Amino acid sequence: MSRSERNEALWNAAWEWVIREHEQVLDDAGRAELIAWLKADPAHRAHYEEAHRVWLGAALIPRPPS
Amino acid sequence: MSSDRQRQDLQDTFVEHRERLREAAKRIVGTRDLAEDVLQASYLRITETSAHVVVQQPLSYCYQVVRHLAIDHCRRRSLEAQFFVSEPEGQAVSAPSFSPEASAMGGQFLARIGETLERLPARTRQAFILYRLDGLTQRDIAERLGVSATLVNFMIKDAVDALKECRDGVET
Repeated sequence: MSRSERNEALWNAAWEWVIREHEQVLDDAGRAELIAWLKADPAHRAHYEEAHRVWLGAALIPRPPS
Repeated sequence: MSSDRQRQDLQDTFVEHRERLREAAKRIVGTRDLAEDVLQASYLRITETSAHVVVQQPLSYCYQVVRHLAIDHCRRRSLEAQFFVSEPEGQAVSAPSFSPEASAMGGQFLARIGETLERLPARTRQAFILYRLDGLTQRDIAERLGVSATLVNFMIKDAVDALKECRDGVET
């Protein structure tokens, strides 16, 4: 797998975690799985944090006038 | 409105309603000290953002930022607590903490996210706002908008996929 393919795969995985956390409060098993994934490689964590920045950013955009 | 004027307006609004904003934060984070941290981060965030995005309702925007930074604060703390709980002693010390706060996000980064959301069809954007800002379930959104849950599911997926392209790019 090339570097950029690997980056892409990690980004996809990180993004899925963030969306999953938004959709539901993770149960203990899910939580443990996430922590294990984050601990497995600093790159996982870097991508996860970036995904969270984007997700948080989306909540900080002013609400359009209704 | 010029961005200077907008910034001034937002800052004045924030200061004027500071006590109530702190109460709102405290209801989420639990303590006055943590609420104060959230308020400080929110003030920086609002000041930075005001140069890049148009805010129509200053007070409601202040609440929006405080609320979402408070929620994120809780998330980060809980993750950190669990992340380090099983570390062997000594290792945790040097480990960096989870992303500082949103106040570190550049205004241009936010502007890019805003543009991405603006490019979505109006109804998709509306569905996404209910999902992200208001935390509604997809079923509730369907009811609110008077459309099928399947359609809501597609709209949310479109918005989430579009946002996914907003990353800055992580170098690893």
